[in-house]
Amino acid sequence: MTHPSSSQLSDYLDGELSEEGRLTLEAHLTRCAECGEVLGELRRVLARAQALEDRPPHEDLWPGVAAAIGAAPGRRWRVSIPVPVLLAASVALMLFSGGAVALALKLTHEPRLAAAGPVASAATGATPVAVIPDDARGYDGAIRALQAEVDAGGGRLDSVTVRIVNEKLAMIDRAIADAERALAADPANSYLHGHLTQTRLRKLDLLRRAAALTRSVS
Amino acid sequence: MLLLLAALAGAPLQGTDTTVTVRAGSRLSLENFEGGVTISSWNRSAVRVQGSHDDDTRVDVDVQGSSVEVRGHSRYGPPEVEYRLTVPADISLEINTHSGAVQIDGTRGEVQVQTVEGAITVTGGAGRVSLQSVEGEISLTGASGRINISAVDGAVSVRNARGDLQVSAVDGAIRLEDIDASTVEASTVDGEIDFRGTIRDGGRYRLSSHDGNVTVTAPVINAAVSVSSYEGDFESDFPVTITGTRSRKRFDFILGTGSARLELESFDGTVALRKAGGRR
Repeated sequence: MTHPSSSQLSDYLDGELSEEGRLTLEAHLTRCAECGEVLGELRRVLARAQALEDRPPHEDLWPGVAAAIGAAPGRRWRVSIPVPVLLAASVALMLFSGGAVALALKLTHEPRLAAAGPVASAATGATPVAVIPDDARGYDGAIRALQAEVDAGGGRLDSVTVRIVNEKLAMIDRAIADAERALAADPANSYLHGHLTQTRLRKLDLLRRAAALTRSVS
Repeated sequence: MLLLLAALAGAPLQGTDTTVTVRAGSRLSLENFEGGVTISSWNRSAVRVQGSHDDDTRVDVDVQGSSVEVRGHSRYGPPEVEYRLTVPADISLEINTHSGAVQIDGTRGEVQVQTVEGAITVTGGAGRVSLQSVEGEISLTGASGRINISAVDGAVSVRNARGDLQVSAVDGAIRLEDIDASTVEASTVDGEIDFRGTIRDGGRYRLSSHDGNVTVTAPVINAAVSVSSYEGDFESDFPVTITGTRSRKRFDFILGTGSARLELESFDGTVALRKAGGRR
């Protein structure tokens, strides 16, 4: 057979291939080191995810990540996760284990203030302090924490930059809403699951960049 | 260790113009707040720094070993310097600016550029090439190696590139032309993705847009292809026999030997495979 597609490999890990398909693929795997490597990568991502579920991060971000990628909390990962979702999950784990966790840890030790306004606040000359939501946990918590930092530091940025960042965040939000609506209509569509996850991670990435910008000009 | 500090406070019309000797394989970093940066290369083992700025700004060129740092300092706030640099072609470049276009011509070294406001235009680059902009288009021509490009508001254009390519945009089209890469990953939220080049045997290609067409144009495609869309369509100049269908708009098929992997996704646009030289 020719190289299996990523979705076929995903089905293989799920145990959802037909007997004939499984045997054909396994025969191919014995001859193709590259496909074996890809399969190994997928297994490692799964293993990493399962290990993290057993030992959640201190800030308990994992449930949010799991929710973002459609995994049920409190259970071990089912293997039926399409490759894009696995890769996105891998990125999410890196994000949360790195910058976002550090950010959350840092911010949760700072004073909590009242709710901040939008990013496009006028520069006051005073150094704003990030607003920390009480439930800065999981994906949504990380988004809120970063958004709060961007809101607080937006006055240090050029107004055009602030406007553009807000426009692009709104654009990503619309894409997320599109994917969520589509998923509601077609909940078994693994492409939509992966697409939604990747779009949400893109929002996280843009917010991280925006937050870094506010820090860089402080 | 050689420490050379050239600190020149220039007149408004004259600015800074200093040349320092550098080792082969040096790394130059430049940080600027406002003002463009234009870099060209020459065959000398030296860096020439020309800066246009006001009387209250000075430019320091600090050489330590194989490290060259160019920094502006202003008495009244962030430095505003219009830079023109001439560098050895193989020097590694790390350029960070807040506001101002960056143009680099003829480099054969590593390139890292980050801007907030300003276009990035690079010709050349090898090894690690990383270009990031928030507001501004990014154009890269003739690079090779591990290429990573990220744009938020602006189109991305990559031409004549070799190596591994990763491109991400939020609001902007991605145009990849004359690409010979074994790994290509390109994604955007709102914009078309247009790939023209070689699909290498054993290569991996993943192109994804939320709201834009995704088009691959190649003379020959030997790949296991996965197509996913939700509201878009699929078109192909190549004869397609579906091997696996997950839904009406999600399916897999093999072209030729199936050696490469090609994953094409567009939530709301058309996915198209075009034969190079065929209809567009």
